[in-house]
Amino acid sequence: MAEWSTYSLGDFLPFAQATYLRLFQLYNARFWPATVIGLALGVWVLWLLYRPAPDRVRLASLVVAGCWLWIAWAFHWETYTPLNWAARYAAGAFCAQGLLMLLAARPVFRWSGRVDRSRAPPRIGYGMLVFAVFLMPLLGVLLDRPWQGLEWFGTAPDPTVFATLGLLSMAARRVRLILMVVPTAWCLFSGLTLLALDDPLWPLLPTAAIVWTAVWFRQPAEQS
Amino acid sequence: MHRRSFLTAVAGACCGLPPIPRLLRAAPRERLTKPIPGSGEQLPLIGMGTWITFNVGNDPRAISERAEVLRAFFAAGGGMIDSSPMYGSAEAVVGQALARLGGSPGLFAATKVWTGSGADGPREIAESQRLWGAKRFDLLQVHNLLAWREHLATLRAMKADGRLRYLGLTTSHGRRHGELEQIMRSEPVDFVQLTYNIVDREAEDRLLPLAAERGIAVIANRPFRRGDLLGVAQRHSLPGWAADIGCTGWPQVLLKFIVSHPAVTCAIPATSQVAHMQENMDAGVGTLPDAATRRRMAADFAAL
Repeated sequence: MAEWSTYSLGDFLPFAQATYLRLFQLYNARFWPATVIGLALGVWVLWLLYRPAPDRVRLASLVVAGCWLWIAWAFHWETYTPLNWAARYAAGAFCAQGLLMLLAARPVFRWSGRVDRSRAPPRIGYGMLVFAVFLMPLLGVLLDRPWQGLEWFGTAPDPTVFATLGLLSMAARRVRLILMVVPTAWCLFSGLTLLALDDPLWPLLPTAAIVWTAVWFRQPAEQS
Repeated sequence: MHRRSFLTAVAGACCGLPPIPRLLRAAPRERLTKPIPGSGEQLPLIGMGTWITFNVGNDPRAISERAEVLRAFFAAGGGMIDSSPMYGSAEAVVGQALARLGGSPGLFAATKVWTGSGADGPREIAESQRLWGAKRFDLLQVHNLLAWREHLATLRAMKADGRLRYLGLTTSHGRRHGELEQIMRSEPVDFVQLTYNIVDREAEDRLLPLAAERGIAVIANRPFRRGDLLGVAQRHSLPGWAADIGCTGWPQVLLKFIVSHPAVTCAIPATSQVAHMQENMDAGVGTLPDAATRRRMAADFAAL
């Protein structure tokens, strides 16, 4: 136990911030036009959830599940693991989340009831989706990062996780409890990674996870 | 003037080569070396670490930049390059950078075995050799004492077969010094690697004297505490004694403090920039501080 106290957060990261930012440039270039497809899928998800009938929510969850599976393979396994051996575990977690979302979207499960967009959590959830699809990538521009390395919904983990939390605000309580584990764990992991890299965006995901969890645990069971 | 410089200048003048002053400027300064106690082989005082700095994945631009860092390292008479399978893509990047140089005179290739399973050690070592493009390593070390009994047995067998020149063990951040001390007393090892710098000096109490007594070479890692010590120092001007030991910058001061300890064989600073590499390598020439100057250096640094 005493040995762990000798570690700092930075001791767990085997790469520099410049390398991490460059990673996204190389990733976007290698899998082009995946970023464009991801953005298009994000717009489709927003359209589906604009009038969130149960079938439309279910279809949106299938799209997002596919994004999780893509990120597990293309980003974590193919791109990130060579830099950080721990990313292979993230690949496994993202794959599990994608498969769980596929499973939960089957008609035998009650993914969601009738979503009442007049209530606060679904409204907040939809706002999170809009933020993840359109605004999160632009945060990199504000920080003078090259546009080729921006992180987009559907292909980069952070905006996809952020959007998934938004989507889960429209899910039935039991589904939400199961499907929130990996996204909230990633929020913590990503926040700590960015903190160790002195990245000013580090509080974004952990704060989102905390606020999202707090809002939902204060809500009574949703209507069906 | 060194004898080599004088003879070179005379030969140049006789053969109609460039004028003497140019030759003198171009002549490499004498690199300071220390012997590996077990063999007497001379090793340059300043080596190179690869933690973080060489973990750049498949980025062709970054790999080219690291190749230039290595070029500067060898041009300045560098020797030991130290890496590990734990450092992500660092071994692969070292291998690609070395291949681009088309030759690495003086390379002392050192890496580690880092797996909790003794049975997996040979496979991991073979993979490291493939990544480096090395026929054999000069030094293999058990990383952070992980499964050290099993791995030391493997490394001993490799050394006996002529597939390895030296074997050793590593720690860092001052961890597990007690266990390392026991191993140094009971097992024949050629090298140990540990954290030693102007602030982290716990090794002076027992491990460095023991290494000297047992004839074990010492590699000092984290010479700048991952840049933190430079961050503190570079807010201050160099003390007067720095010029007396031939230092023009803080990196040289910090490195000369380390390698001037009689039991330390070399230090392995890491960098991703050619200019910093050249600054680091300048610590391996000229005068080293004596014991009194070392005491003053440590006291002055602590007062910063």
